[in-house]
Amino acid sequence: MGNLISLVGSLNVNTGQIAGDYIKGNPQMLLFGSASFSSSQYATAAAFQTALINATQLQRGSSGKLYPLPVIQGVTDKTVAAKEGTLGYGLIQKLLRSKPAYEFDLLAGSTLEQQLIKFDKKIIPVIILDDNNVFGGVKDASNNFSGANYLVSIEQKPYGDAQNVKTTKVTISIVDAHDFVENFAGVQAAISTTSIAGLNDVTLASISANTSNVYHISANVLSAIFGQSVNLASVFGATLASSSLWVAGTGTNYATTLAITSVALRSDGQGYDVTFDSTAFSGLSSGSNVIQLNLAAPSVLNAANVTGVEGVALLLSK
Amino acid sequence: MQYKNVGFNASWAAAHSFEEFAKQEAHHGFSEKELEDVYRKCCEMEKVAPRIEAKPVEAPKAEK
Repeated sequence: MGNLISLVGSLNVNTGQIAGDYIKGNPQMLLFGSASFSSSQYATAAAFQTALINATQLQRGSSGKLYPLPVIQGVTDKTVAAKEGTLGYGLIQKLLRSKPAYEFDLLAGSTLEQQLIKFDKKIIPVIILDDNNVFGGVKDASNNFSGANYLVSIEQKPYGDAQNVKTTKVTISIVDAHDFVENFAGVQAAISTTSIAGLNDVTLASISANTSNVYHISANVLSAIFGQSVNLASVFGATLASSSLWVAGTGTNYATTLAITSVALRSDGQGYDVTFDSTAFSGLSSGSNVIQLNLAAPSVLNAANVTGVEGVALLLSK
Repeated sequence: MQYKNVGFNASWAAAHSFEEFAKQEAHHGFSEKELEDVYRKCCEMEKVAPRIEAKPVEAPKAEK
């Protein structure tokens, strides 16, 4: 007879193996951010793809925005091993469970590094996409899926030493080890990493002094290198010459809409001429920072095939 | 409503008379006929009747 005095049953588990069950693979991409997906949003792979990509296209400052990082090129397991102690006769007793941590090699340009460094030393929810097409994170009490909290470290790529390959290093260290096992949840969806891309900031600037209610605006994605930028007029041309793809406001917090009556693609290719309602414009007081001009929200731009960008608001004087 | 690389706010156009629209958008260098065509298309998009003042017709000159 075995030991009948046992509390093993109180563990309340079963240990049957599910054939074909998911086993964590090799990470392919990290997604930072506080996006939370309800059961209807991960009910199917197609629904999850829509919800995921929508989260990456939210405006800067949105609480549920997801920030996809470049595809991972290498990984080093930095997991802090479990702490063990031994009793006098050799019995090994675990004192503390291991704490998963990983260092990832990413290829990030200098301009992107300037954005990534903002995540340094912050606790960020992270969703990990692996090569089994599973997005790994956690589930909450309501069965919502989101990233697990990790402490993030960003280390810039150094200059080369002609000896070793150098990359940008992103290290994540899990805050609560339970999120790696007990709270772990995943969504399987075969989504190409190419379709999961972050947005680029578009810097708007005045090309020359305004002509009354007509402002001459350039729209460029700037890089860390002087003179190297992407001119949106070259990329999107007349597609961005649409009054519905620009927004302008005045007054307190620029909350009063200033109507844009037309947007013209300039013949010199430098940008766009934005025309404000002349009556409303005349009614504005003269001064600095009277008008806030920006591109419409990324979701609006995307619908018009102006993809991959988000404007940074420009304050205009009258 | 786009015309020759200029995106016009159809809603704004349709809410104004052609005279107001033409004055607002005169700086693009379009002819009056072109502006009228654009204006009419904006009104059509917004399902609004265009407000265009009839031009006075010159009386034909009598033959000598």
